[in-house]
Amino acid sequence: MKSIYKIVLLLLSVLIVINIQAQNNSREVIMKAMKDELNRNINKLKLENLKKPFFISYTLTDIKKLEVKSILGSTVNIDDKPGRNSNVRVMIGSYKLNDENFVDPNNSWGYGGGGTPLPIEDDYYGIRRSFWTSTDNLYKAAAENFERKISARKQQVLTPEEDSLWDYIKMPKVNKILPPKTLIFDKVKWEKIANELSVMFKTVAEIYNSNVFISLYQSDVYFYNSEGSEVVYPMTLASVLINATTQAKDGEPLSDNLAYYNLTPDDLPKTDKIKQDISNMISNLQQLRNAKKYDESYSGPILLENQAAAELFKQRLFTATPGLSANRKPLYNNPNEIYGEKSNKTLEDKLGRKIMSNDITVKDISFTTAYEGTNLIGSYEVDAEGVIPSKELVLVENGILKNLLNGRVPTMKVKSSNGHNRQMVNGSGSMLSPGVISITSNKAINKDAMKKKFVEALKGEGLDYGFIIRKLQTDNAGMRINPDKNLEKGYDNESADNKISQPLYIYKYYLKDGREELVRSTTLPGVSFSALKRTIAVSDKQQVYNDIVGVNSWYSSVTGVPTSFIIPDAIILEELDVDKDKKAMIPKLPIVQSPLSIK
Amino acid sequence: MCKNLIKSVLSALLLMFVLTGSNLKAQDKLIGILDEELNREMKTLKTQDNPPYYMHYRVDEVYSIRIDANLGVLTGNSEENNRKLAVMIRIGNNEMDNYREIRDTWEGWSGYDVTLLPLDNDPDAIKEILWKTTDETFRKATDKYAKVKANVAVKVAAEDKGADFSKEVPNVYYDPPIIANDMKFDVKQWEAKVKKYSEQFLAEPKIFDGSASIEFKILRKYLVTSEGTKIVQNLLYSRLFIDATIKADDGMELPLYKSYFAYKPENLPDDNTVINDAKDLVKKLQELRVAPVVEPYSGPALMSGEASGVFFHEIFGHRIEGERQKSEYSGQTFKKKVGTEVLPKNMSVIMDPTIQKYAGQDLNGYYKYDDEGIKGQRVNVVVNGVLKDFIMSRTAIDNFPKSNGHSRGQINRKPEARQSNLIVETKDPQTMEQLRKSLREEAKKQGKEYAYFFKNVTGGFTNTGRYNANSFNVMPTEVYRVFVDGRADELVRGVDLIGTPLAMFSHIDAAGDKPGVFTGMCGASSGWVPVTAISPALFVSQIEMQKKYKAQDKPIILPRPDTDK
Repeated sequence: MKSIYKIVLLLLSVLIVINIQAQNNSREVIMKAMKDELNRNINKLKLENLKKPFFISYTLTDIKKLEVKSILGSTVNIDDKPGRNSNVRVMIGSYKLNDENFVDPNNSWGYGGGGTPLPIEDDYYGIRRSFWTSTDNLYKAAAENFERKISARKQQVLTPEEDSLWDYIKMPKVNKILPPKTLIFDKVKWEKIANELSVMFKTVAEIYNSNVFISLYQSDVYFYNSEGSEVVYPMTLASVLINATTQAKDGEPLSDNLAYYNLTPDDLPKTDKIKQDISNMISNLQQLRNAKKYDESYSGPILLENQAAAELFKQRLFTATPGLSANRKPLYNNPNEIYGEKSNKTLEDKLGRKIMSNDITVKDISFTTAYEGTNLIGSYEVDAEGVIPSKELVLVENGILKNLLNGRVPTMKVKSSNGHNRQMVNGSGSMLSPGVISITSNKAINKDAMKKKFVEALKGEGLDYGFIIRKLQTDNAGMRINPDKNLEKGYDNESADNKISQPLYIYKYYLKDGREELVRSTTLPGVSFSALKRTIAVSDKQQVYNDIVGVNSWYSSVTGVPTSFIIPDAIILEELDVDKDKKAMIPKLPIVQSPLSIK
Repeated sequence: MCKNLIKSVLSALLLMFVLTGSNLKAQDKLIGILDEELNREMKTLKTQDNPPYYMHYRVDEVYSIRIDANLGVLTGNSEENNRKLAVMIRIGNNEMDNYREIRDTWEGWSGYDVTLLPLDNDPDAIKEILWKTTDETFRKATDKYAKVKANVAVKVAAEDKGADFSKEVPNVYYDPPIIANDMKFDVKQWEAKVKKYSEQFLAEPKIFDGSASIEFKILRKYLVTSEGTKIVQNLLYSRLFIDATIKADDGMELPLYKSYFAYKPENLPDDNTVINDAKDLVKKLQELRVAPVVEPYSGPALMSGEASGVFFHEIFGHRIEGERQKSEYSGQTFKKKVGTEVLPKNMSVIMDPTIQKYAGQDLNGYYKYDDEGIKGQRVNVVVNGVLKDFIMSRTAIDNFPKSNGHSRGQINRKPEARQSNLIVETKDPQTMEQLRKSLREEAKKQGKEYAYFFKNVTGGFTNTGRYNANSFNVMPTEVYRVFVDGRADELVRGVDLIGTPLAMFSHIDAAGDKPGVFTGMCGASSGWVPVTAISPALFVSQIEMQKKYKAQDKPIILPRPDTDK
């Protein structure tokens, strides 16, 4: 028996060795192809009367994945096909002045030309051919854009600061090759787990729609640029996303969700733990269906706990506008056709000034890989532009805004990259995003003391009741996968300034007897930064919140940047408004009884 | 279905009996589940203010594999295996219901959402999804019906008095399941094949995109209606493409392709054939790159069978689709021409979904039952030049109150009358030599040095509406000048064939003796459907050509990496 075991182990180790060997060969072929093609282009690419490119970068993402979608105990879709995507950047001009940071609505709309698709096998020339056609297309577009930009600059008055602001910042050459991670995605196992989780909704006729989506992702990201930076790193993500929707008896659409993110499938919570959470979610939704509709208007202290505290910080600081990211104001060709003005809102002018309560400090500590035994999915060593983030980047210190997240495109006040232009999962692009964020308060107190402060504050305001919020709708991109369109709780006007998502589990806390009452149909009309200036108390207990920050997923994969937040698990804001939610439309209840209810 | 397929289906059947010993119905629980839930829903919905008079569940069960290679390297490998659901609920009555065209609004442009059903046959899970989707569909249907009634009340009477939904006898049909593994689609083998095919394009350094792809698809279609129709039918598709693109110095991108179609992958042509075709494409692309660009032209032309098939599909096929005779926005070119001569006396046009093979070629437009559960029927649209019939769905039109089994649509679109296998025939076939002779003579008569021969096309499009000119556009890839003085043909580039339908028909002078078969996908308001267009070569005394849109970018600056050593 023992010897059989040994043989099996031996075989296994041989397999692993072979596998890593294969992966290393694959890495060599891919990187060599990218290097050779990039070097050829930077040296030789030139059209008559136009400038040569001064900067080129190539990114290639090699993806292995398993995605399972299950409804009511049955698989509806599985995708486990590997894929690759690439991203090419070509700049004309110089670091000081180039074709980027320029918006021209009339810019070339024509079909530039077809290209060669990226191979899914490690073929040296195949990979080069794909970069060859993309670089050619981009060079032509960039060269033309550069001339247009020069002309546009001549028509406009620029302040001396605007005029001298560089377009792209030189950074030292980086050579960082991180070892590959090989994950095993067991299709049978994960399909079974997805079905085991989704089948739990089968006994609950009051939930009208539900689904479980498991996505396991492993990639190697290759980056090479004409400055000689050479970067290869693995990026992995394991997600379990669970959605459920229903309607209250008066028709109000209600939905809840669970999201688990970790680095590898093995790190995900045990199935039993997820089952327990689903079970709780079901009973919470059932309570919510029967909860009273809020029909008043409130302005006063609010206690946010757990997920609600985390979402509030995450959304207010990073995903709502304006947030703690730098934002370069581009040059516009025609100021009458300015698009995206709103998204240019930035906190830059507040640098050095107080933006939050003076006990709060916000830092990015992207090298930190775990906190109290929990993996931090946002941890990374190098960003999408080959820049290594600082060990510790202080964004807010004792309430004073110190810095903003930035990549290599400088802004008036943030002149260099702090390594936060981050590669997205499943997408070919990158975006400014935090890695691991730590938020602490030097006046943190424990939960009991917080509760006392909350009660005092309510009394001080002469209120009968206050609000405790325990869960907000998440604005997380992954949760948007196939929601029930008719029941989706509105993300109306979601890009508006200061917009924070709707409360999901919000409780009226009655002063006279300490009773909590779950209510529904509430809305937070907007949380500006000034709301964070007046905090009553912050919890001394930190929680880890792993999440995906990113674009809304319009196709069925998790896209965005993995981020982690080490955040106080509760906060009391001195004054926030809670209004009754005025829905544009409330659908009627289903006419026919659910088949699950007649079993 | 072709003989081979029946054989394999039979053997699959046999295998199932051996393995499970169960009967057929038990093998296909889905049809029973759909039926049960439909009846349960109907029972309650019938008690509502606006009760449905008809309802159906349509499910497409898809298993497909696609493999792509480019210049000898694999570039894609995807697989699809799912069940897509469509629910139709009709409110009102057969004469007027919620599917009537609402005039002067955008209403009716429904979305392209797809609802997925479980792949296993779990009745509870499937029924729950059917229930939710039915509820959503019913709400939309009642709302739409109210809008139809309001629209009818304020607008002038519709010109066409045909019923919105014809009364038909229900059908029951059952194909046993095909087991995917029995279909002998060897992924590794096909990966090697498409790599080898696309590798041929490496021979010409100026080819930057040279691909080969294979798609194999098993489609199992379910339809259950409240009228008692229960249909389960299988369709198989194997499609192989080779195509390559070269860029001329003036920026024009010149794609050439060759496609092959068979129901089963093993009936696709052998490696030698495909490799030789790829080599031919390379030669032609080399010629095409330096070929002269054509100026706009009007005069006689000759079209190959394939080109004529596409030409007929666009200028004629789309104009004999039932719904287009009813819509107040449609040009209705032929609506009032039934019984009159629309084509030369020796020509006939047939639309026939019941045939699987023509001239030895498997046909893409084949099916047994259409998407409204009506048996596909051969329709003699034009007999000896005289227009006799339209292709019909259950949307009736004046004098054509019944469907002839041509209702087709992508799963998430409302099915409408669409083409199947279009066949153009002539009683007076002429050899290619005779046609070429006529072409030269006509060109001479019109005082021209040369005329044009359209050998290959990628497809075409047409506008059948009333707002814009009712024109068509056929996109050729391979066009030759045929000289009056008998010189060798000259390959040219940069043109599209254009025209308007009625003017065009009056110029068809003669047809060839060999049918060309064009296999394609046709996209229109009810989505993409597989079709075939079959026609002999045509000699036309007058056509018009316009310049083709071309890419404006200069050719790729650096040489292809594998040739830059």
